[in-house]
Amino acid sequence: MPGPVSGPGDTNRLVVAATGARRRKGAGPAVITVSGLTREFQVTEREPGFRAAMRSVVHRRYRTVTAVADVSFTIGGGSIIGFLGPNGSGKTTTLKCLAGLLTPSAGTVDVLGYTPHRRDPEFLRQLGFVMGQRWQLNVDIPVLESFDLHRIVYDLDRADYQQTRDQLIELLDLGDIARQQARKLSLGQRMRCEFAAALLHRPRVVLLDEPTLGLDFDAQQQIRRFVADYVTLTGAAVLLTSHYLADIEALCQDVMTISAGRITYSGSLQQLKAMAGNQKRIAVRLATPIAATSVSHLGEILEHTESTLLLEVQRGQAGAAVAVLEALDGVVDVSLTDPPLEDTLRDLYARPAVATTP
Amino acid sequence: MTGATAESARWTGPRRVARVYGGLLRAELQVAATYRTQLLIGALSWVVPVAFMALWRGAAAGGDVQGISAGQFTGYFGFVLFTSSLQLTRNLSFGISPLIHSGQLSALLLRPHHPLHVMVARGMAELAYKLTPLLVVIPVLLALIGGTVTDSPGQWVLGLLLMPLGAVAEGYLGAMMGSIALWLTKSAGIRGLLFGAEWIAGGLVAPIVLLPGILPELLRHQPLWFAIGGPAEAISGIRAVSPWILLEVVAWIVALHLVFTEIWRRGMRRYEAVGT
Repeated sequence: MPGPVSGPGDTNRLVVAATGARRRKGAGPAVITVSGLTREFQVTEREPGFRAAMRSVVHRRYRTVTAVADVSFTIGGGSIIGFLGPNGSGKTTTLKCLAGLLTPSAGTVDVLGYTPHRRDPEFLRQLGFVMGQRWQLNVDIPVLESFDLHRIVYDLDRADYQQTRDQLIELLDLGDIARQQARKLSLGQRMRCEFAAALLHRPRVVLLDEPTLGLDFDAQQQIRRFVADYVTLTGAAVLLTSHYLADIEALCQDVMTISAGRITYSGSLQQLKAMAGNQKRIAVRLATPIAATSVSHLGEILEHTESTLLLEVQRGQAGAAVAVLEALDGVVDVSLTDPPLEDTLRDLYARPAVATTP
Repeated sequence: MTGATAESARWTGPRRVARVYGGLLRAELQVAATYRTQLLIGALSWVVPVAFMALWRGAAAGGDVQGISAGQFTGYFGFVLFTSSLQLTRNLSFGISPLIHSGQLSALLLRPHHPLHVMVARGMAELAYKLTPLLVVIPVLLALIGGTVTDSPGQWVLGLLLMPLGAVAEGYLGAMMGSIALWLTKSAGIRGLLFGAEWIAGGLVAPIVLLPGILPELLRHQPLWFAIGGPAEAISGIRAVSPWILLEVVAWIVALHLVFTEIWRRGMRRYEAVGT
């Protein structure tokens, strides 16, 4: 996947022509094309306190908040793109614009040849959107009944529907819960059912907004496996936001980061990890304590206890540092790792928007 | 899972809408059946027409009130009991507005049909449970306390046709009131205006022929009366309605549909999908 491309006259534009999901080689033609997307909201403001509240009755003050500013990207079919950013950075707003829930203030969004905010039924039939804890199932009836309603609403062929439903039930392990009222299910059970509902009609574009939020480890694993299998089998394009980097690492080869409404990075996850800069981390297990002064010349000491030592060193000097450490008395084990993705992301979020062209 | 993705819709136009309604109604009838107590509480709405029936019967005990007998008042409020229960206004108005306010509308907007269909189906499902006992209660009530109805088959036909058409027209008003939440975060006050108007202009408190001045003539040409008082006046024989009224109500429905479509289109541009 190409990274940011510079060009005159455009800001914050980039191409995410995905090279393919982890389990699927090669991306299909572009299914999502976003150009100069901007979404603004008007919010009311007032000073705290009772008097300010009374004053606001007659004199209301508004402020325009730009949630997403001049964002451009293209996503091909058969790919899972990770979309990362801190809270309030514009991830969900972008997804809502792609789903047609929000009308852009400026710019254009094209999904499968449709303008999403016009909400053409044919477009909606090809879209699946899992929104964290915003439920699409009718909570008052058994899950299977909701699935059946889905068949009618999405106009699915009965035989195809039954086949897909049974496969989803098996893949997501819903056998025991599909006959229960959705409101009686646990969060994890309900999330898995939501996934099934969102994909029963086999959408070509799937938007996943924090799909594993609040789920236990097993449920997270199940969802990840399922998403990967779904893309392999259907060639759908998936855009995934998650605060769990494990989701991104397990599913995405390509990622975009967004901060304060502007894209700050677009490229492969590998590249992103490499952007950890010239740093490497050396984790040392100790049989006996060693003095900090004996290793401080090797790099920055991040952690030091009687039994462990964590050092950050320049990439080119990591080999030499490991050799020095291994020669020290009391060192049991030395391992070399990249700094955690979280640290890299924190740096990326703080970056200015990239200046690129589509 | 098969490799194929979504195919083109097999059903289009009115057949598709009918099919979607079939599915939604099936689901909503099940939901309504789940909450039996709620169905019983729904019967409390009978209190208003029955109370006004008692009030006006009392007023007419000493003689006709502006030409309306106690029997006609009984017949009128008996049918108002039915027509006021037939309305989807509350489902639409109170249904849409909290969905907009909470952002739950987003889930419905992702479906390939108008979100309003869900609210209508929900209302219709409740009607099925609400109206069934009324089909027994009203004739018994009229027979027991002496309600009179017209002997004109034409007025019966007109009254019965006016009921669903009027309900559709008033439903559009309810949908518009609910959509106001797209502009105003809290819109309960404006929705309340509609229900206040329903009491007077719909004929819930009294037949509109009892109102002063030109009000009766004016109010005979608006959806609230078509929905509630109009059919009851025709069937109870208080005042005959003209067959042209059907054309008038259809014209209202078309106009209200167009206005609602435009309100919704403009409102959607403002929708902020909060809370997701």
